[in-house]
Amino acid sequence: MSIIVKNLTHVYMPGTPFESTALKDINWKIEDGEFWGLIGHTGSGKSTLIQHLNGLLKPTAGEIIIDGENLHAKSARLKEIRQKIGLVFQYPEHQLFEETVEKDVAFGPKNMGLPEDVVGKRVREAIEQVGLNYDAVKDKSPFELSGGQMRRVAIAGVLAMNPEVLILDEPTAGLDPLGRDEILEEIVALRKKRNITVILVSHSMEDIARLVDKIAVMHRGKMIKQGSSREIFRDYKGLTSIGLGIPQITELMMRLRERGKDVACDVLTVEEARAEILKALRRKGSA
Amino acid sequence: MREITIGQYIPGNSAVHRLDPRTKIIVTLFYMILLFLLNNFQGYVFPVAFIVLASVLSGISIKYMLKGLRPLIFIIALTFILNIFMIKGRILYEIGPLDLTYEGLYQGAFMAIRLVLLIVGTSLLTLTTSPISLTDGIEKLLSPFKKLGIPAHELAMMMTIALRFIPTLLEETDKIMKAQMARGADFESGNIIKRAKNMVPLLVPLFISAFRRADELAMAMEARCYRGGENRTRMKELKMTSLDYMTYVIFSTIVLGALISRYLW
Amino acid sequence: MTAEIIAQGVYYQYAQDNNLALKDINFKIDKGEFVAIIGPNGSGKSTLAKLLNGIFVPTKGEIYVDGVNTASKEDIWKVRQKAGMVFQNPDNQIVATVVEEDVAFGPENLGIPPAEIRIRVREALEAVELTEYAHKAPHLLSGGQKQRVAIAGILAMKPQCIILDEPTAMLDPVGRKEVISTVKKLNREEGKTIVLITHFMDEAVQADRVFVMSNGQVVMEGTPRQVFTRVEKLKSIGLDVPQVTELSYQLRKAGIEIRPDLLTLEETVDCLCQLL
Repeated sequence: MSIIVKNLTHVYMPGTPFESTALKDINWKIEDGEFWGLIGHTGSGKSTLIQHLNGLLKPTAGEIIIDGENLHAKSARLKEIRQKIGLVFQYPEHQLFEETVEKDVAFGPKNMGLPEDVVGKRVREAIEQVGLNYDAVKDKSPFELSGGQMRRVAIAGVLAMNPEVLILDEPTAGLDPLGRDEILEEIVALRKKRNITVILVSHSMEDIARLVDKIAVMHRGKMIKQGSSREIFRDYKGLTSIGLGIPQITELMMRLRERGKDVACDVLTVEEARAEILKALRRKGSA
Repeated sequence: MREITIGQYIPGNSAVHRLDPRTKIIVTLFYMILLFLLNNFQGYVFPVAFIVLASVLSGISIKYMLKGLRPLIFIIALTFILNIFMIKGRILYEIGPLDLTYEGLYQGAFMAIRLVLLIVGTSLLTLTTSPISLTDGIEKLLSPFKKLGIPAHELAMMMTIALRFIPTLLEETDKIMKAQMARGADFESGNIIKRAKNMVPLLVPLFISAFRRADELAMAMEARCYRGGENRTRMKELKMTSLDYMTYVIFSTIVLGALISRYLW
Repeated sequence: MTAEIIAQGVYYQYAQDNNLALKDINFKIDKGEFVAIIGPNGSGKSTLAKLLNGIFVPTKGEIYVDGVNTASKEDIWKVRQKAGMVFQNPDNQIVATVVEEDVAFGPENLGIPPAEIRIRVREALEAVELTEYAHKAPHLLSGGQKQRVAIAGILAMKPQCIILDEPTAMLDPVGRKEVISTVKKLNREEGKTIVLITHFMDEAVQADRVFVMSNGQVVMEGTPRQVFTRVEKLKSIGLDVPQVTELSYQLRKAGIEIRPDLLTLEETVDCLCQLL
């Protein structure tokens, strides 16, 4: 499923003293199966942007085209498109409301009007996909679970709708390192298994660097940069000037480079840095 | 929503803003009583004079105060119409079974104006007093009744916390609503019963969150040594100044004038 | 140096739970020290924080704050004044509708005279650099600013010790930096004892001493350098190490002679420059 954002502008409360432009002339093309990271400050417009992608907000100007269909054309079937684009909000566990985990996860597919047996199947799949034991949790109240488990149930609630695009707004906020890694691994596994498009909004440059293929950078309502992760993180000065950073390991290699060491400076993970340094050491040893 | 100016505090530093909130509450109470004591049109000169004076001193235009009437225009119109047709008397005009009477017209206009003056006059209080000093004023005014079992401090604290959390909960409502809509929830269509049922996915998380917040807030308050109103001091102490005494004198004059007018006119 | 907080054989058990939330906790925290407590979710760190200012009382054992037993009913308000607490959710600990009124809330509860409260509020807002926000409504502030208001509210009670229970968990990187630099400043310039509970390793690295908790026990304790170089042990508990520490650990495993206790970016750059 491809998403094209064309000249998107969004103004909050136009015509009032509270008027503010949240998004300005955004152009963005998301191809089928891509893994994007969306980064930027709080208040840079990331949340407003992703809420446009499944029609929760209407553009003030510009358009969103999903698989060739304009999301806001009169003929568009908003509800159907919304199902294909799953949006997981920040702290999604705050939306849980049903008596049991099973019922809560079933909420989305039921709203789609699917037959009972299909709903049941999807619920089981979704719960297992987020790494929970279906039989152990299905009859539990979501509110007896731990924070990390609640979050997974909430994500399962979106997955059960079988979205073709999955947008996650800070899915690891407030989790400990283990919980964070588990959720991120599940997202990677899911992408592999279902071959879906994923957009990950995160403040953690380390997570973004090791997971996504492409990055879009938001600043003050504008999309100031898009490109492969390597390209984006190479621009250390540009990112820090807007208050964003780069992964510590990337910065380390850049500093080494600045000091005249012969190492590649566009590494994204500790493993890459290790290989790069070992290579440089061997070169030095043989020289 | 934002068209509603009634009760929205407008920050300022005018003489009216600087008055002790207790003075403003007491004056407003007596103003309301006064309105119901007046028995003829001429008497309205006094409340109108009061409002004009307050407007000049506070720097809040009468036009702005009248804007606050907009959401209530229906009630005012209804009062007017009901009075016109309910009062028996000299018939001016007949509309089917309804009689338009001279007395009805008089009474209708009288009541509608009373309502307008009531709303404008009381909105002056909230327009010129911040919620927090309003709460302080209420707490202080009620504190003599503590012995009668009226929990003045607790009531004031509840009001403060409610005011503090209204914006937070509104934001949260919006967020949960959107999250459920992303899961295909429908809050807009269907009949009343269906709509009410559709609110469950919104209301349950909202209640749970409110309880969690209450729990955490209580703990945070205790951690900051909160133990009720006993032995508590306040950073801002309410103090009556000469400005307040002057207000009482001016306002008493208006009330006195109005009462006398009942017999003279 | 004298001890600010002493824990002696502390056990804690929640009423509805059969398992112990804390088991045999013993430590001393000195006056003016900056201690970070790390550990995975459910390891007992938040429970421990709530014991340190008497919100909870140990099931067994004692905790003393500046010589006062937290379990003593008469002295409980003394304990809470001495050890102020900042919580995780910035929204759920601000009581008033105006910033300065909220900062005044603690001193008001202590019965401090109004003139003195004004001075304290002004000083506290200066210390967290929020003076110009004194008359703002809290819900209009950013997360980092709200947490600084919460810190100011504690400061105005003149505590010797500030306990922060995951104060940055819900903040963005900018807010996290604001809060941590405020905390460090209070520690350095005003000599406040700091107990910071966090699961961000880059924050814990800045402390004088780190406690690592797992399953209700303190399983490791030492300077950040001593703690974070034990990469394998930390990982087995489910914790992280800074990327540069991870790198030096990996390089050593590959047979490279590199200092095992690298923690910061700068020292790693220097160290690698000598190698390469």
